[in-house]
Order: sequence, then C-alpha cells, then structure tokens
Amino acid sequence: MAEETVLPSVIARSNGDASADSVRRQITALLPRLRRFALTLTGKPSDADDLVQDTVERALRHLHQWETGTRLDSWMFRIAQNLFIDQVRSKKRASAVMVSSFEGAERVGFDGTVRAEARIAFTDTIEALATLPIDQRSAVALVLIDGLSYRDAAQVLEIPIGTLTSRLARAREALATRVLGRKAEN
Amino acid sequence: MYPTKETLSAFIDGELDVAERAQVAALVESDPKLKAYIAEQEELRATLHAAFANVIAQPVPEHLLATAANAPISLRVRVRRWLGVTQSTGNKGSTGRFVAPALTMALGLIIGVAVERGSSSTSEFSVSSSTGGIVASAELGQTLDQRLASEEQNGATRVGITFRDRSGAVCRSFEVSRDSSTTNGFACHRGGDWQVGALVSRPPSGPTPSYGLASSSMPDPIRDAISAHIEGVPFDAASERRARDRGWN
Repeated sequence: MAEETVLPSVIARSNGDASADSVRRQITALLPRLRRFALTLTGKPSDADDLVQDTVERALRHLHQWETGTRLDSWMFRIAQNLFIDQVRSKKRASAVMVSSFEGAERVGFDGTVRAEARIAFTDTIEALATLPIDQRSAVALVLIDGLSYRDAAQVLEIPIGTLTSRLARAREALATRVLGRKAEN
Repeated sequence: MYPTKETLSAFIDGELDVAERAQVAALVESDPKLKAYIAEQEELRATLHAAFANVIAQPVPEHLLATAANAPISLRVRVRRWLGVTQSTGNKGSTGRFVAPALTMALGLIIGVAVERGSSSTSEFSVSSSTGGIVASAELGQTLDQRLASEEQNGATRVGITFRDRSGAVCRSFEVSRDSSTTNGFACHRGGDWQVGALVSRPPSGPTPSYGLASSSMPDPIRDAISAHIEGVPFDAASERRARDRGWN
C-alpha cells in the first residue's frame, strides 16, 4: 500500500483513528446482510465472499464518495451490485459465452452442516434466482429478502420506483412458478 | 377494477397508501383467486427468507472482519479529517467561501502575534523587502528548502505536510520548537521565498511530544488555514521529492 508508507505519519496513522473506527464498526455490522445480498447475486458462497471483500475494500478506499448523513447500507449495496455487474460483463467479454454465474453452484450454504431440508430449499431457491435477469435478482434481494422499502431499493439500483415495481412483479411471477412449483413436486 | 400485478406486488410489500391499500384489500377479500395469489406470494417470501436465514445467522469469516477493520481508508477522507473539515467534497466551494473571511481576520491577528514574538525571540522570520510580507529565513528557510517529511526529524524545526494551494504554489507546514515557545505555521514558495501563510506561537505546553508532528500539536487556526488554501490532497513522499528537485515550483 504505497500511500501508507509515503504519507506524513500523522495522516498515515489516521487509518485507524476514532472516526475511522466508527465507520469500520458500521461496516462490520453490515457484513451479514452484505453476504446475503452477494449470495443472492452470485449464487455461490465463495464468490459471494469475494464480492463482499471487494465491496468493503472499495467502500473504504472511496469513503470520500459516501455522503455523510445518507445510508451506508444503501451505498454499499450499490457498490456490491455495480462490482457484480462489472464482473459478469468482463466474464462475458472474456468467454463470449453467457455463463450463468450460478453454474456449478455449490450444493451447500456457507455452513456445510446445514440440515438436508434447508439445503434443498437453499439450492432450489438459488437455482430459481439464477434464472432471473440480474436486475430482477437485485430487486428480489433488496426488497423480498433484505426488506428495503421500494424507495431505498430504487435508490440502491439507481432506477425509478416504477421500474423497480415492474421488475418485482415480473420476478414474483417467475419465482412463484419455479420455487413453489418445484417444492410442490418434491 | 382488477389490480395489476404491480399493484398487488406493492400491496404485499406494504408500499400502497392507505386509500389504495383499503381498496385492494377489499378486492382480495372478495376474490378467491386474488386471495390465493397473495397467499402464494407470502409463501414465496417466507421460502426466500428461510433459504438465506443461514447466511445471516452464521459468524462472518475472519478474513472479512479483518478487511473491515484494516483495509486502507480513502486518503481524501483522512486528510479532511486531519484538517478538521467535515464537509463532503461536493461542498468544496462553499467551504472556501465560508472559511475565507474568517481566515482573513484570523491571519492578521496571528501574524501580528508572530511578528511581535518573532522579533524578540527568534530569527526564523523576516519581513520581505520586496513584498512587505513575512518570509521564512535562517534555519527554517533552509529546512523548508531541503528537508523531506519522511527524513529523520530530530531538530528544533520540523516539516509536516507539503501541498499545493489554490494559486498553484507549493506550500509546506512546519513546527519550530524553542525553549520559550512553539511556533506552527505554513509557508508557500513564491519568487524564491517561503512566504508565511499563517503562524501561531504558543508557550511550550508541558513535555513536548518526543517525535514527529503529531496531529494534536497542530493548532486549529493553522489547520483551518491549510484547509482553506489546499488544493487536492497533500503530496506523497514521491511528489514531495520531485517538488524539491524542481526547486519547489
């Protein structure tokens, strides 16, 4: 980290001062929700944690872009979402094949010891989410799973509320068939 | 009127206003198909929640906690905090406008004090014959010319940060410790001189910090003055060295 060594020591040291600690604590408290959001997007626990790691690093490095007084969670969700879209795009460019990011999704959650029942529910849900376009998947992750209001979710995704509402309606339709439909077959 | 899927979606998520909600609720109550749809959607939400409940319940992996605790923080935020500036970058202009008038008054005061003390106790400062302003001289002038902040700084004169001010001049903050007083300030390089932008002298406060220019030792008026004058962020060591090699121009 070049800037750590070359800066006047007073500023280099402030990487861990009181106000920095407060932001770090807030970010730490957000980690479970960020992991869940990232898992909803990527469908794969290891990819999800990589995405969270990148998100946290970027958020701290670009902390000057966060406007004090606005929601830290919304801002970090947006970073995660944008990083994920970038990743998907660059993968697409690299392979010229649209590979679902859910392909090869691990059959277990973060915790390898989940109960079989929960595992089936998790895998089915993950597979159903994988069939959704990314913009619908994010809407589901933020509203249905994280419980954000339409206004907050629309802000994260930088879209009008009307657009969010129609994405949600379409996603609901698709998921009802796949998640609940598959469950009925079991 | 049959509600659209969008309206139903907003109904389920509690996003309708009171009147709309009552309207849709009445429709749902009277229509078994709608009722079934709502029930199905509630089940979907519960299923989604259950599928991801595990992630929330689990301890966060160590490496992510470590990243949150230690990853480097934005340089600009650190500089702003160190300078005591709370405004976000978007308000840069208004910060300048707000600080400037206060600063003009403060500067007159500060410089008055410095000259008074300076003339009696030290020869670090002199009055420029060409501009009439205060310039750094003697040991301070030499130190500002030669010393890099990253070098060993054990003497009475120490250099802090180097930055460019809004007029494009290179400026450096300093601290001069004498038995009778400690003087903090910054000076900008113009026309071959280090012209003093702000100065504060105060009696030595107890045992002097043993090493370095601790942020707590920089008086507020100097920080305010620097934050009003600085353009961008302070130089890193490489830029500081390049600036010295170019004669601080």
